[in-house]
Amino acid sequence: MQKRVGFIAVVSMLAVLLALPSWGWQGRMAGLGDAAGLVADESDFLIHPAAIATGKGFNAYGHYRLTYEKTKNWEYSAIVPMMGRIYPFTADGRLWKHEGQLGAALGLGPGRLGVFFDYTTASGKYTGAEVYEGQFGPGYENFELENKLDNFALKAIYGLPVGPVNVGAELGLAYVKEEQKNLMPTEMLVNYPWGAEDYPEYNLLPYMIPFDSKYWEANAKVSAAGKTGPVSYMFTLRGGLPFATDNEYVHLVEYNGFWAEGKVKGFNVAGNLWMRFAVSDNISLPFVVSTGFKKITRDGAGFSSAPSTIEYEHEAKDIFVTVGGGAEMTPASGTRLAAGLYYNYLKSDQNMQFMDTFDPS
Amino acid sequence: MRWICVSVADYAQSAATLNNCGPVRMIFDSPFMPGLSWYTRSFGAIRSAVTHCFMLQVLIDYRSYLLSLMDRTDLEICF
Repeated sequence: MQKRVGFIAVVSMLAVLLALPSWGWQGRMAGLGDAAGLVADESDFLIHPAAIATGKGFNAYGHYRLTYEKTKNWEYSAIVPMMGRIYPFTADGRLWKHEGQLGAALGLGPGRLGVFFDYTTASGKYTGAEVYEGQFGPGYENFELENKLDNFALKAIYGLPVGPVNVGAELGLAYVKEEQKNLMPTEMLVNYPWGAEDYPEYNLLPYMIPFDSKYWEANAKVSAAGKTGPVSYMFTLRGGLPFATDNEYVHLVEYNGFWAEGKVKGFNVAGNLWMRFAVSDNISLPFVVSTGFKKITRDGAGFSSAPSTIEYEHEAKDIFVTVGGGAEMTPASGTRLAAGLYYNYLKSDQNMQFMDTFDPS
Repeated sequence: MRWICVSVADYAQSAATLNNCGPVRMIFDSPFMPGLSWYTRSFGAIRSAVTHCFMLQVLIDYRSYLLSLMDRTDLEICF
């Protein structure tokens, strides 16, 4: 029965992809980063909802992207200056990421409506080794790191012309499930936090701070697009908030450990401005600037098998700024050339605090 | 009371797309008092990374009745 349902789902997806007008991501072939805004593309309305107002008729869209990341020589060394000891860690691994999207756009009232469903799943596995001299003699440890992501997102986009300007908005709802885990199989350690405190040979937190989170996220965008003389522009603000959240931190040492349960809090905001200066009928100079900030806090409280009470909090803050520009040229019908230079500033800060309290009373 | 400071001197990752190819500092401060009937232990970890990336992209898109040719070449350097 399951095979039959799966077969029908695959055939239905192929029918959508092959029979209806397809969307080719003309300027967006996968690379390390997408130089969005360098060339004008139909998919721009996924970034600037106002751009959907310029479309016509009924269009169905399908997109799939597979990303494989190979990580080699992922290294760090824990140094304890007072003891003159160095604990060198090295890891290798890979991450598979699948991104799928299905959607459609059609005229509705004075504007156009788009409805899209996105699904992203990623799975990373890394193995490593540590050979150290140690305080009480040499040692060797194997370790493993894992991360997983499942993200289901449904979004509705609407755009319409208002005088000389197109305006648009997007409302989205996403369900996110993500997990990070570190293990030392020989020691039977899972997500050991105290290595950072007094056992540097067991400290895997610089690689991966563990969590197991599930949450819903509401997202919204507002957008405007228009033209002033030779300059066309698209501007969008977006924000998102998690809700109905659940977070767990489970630590195991053989048959002992602790279990802490809590919430996920935070927000994300971003702004995106694209401008395009038309030098002539077939040459334009695009310019892009975008910036964003994301803060996500995971916490938990629970009990250990000691027994003791455990409280922890893990806060991650990310800032990005992208500035880019270039030139796009259409020397003949059906031919397009473009070149651009982009700069990305990425800042990531993570803070983590653990408290373990034993009170015999 | 025992204080341990661990600093991560070298943290490199070949996959620039993971946005972790910059230097990372980690500082732990740990008050730990074992042997008491009541104890509390805690630590705070700070992990900070700043990454600068430059990407040069060249795109060629040629479409005719007989042939469609598209090439996008990215060169991205992060530090």
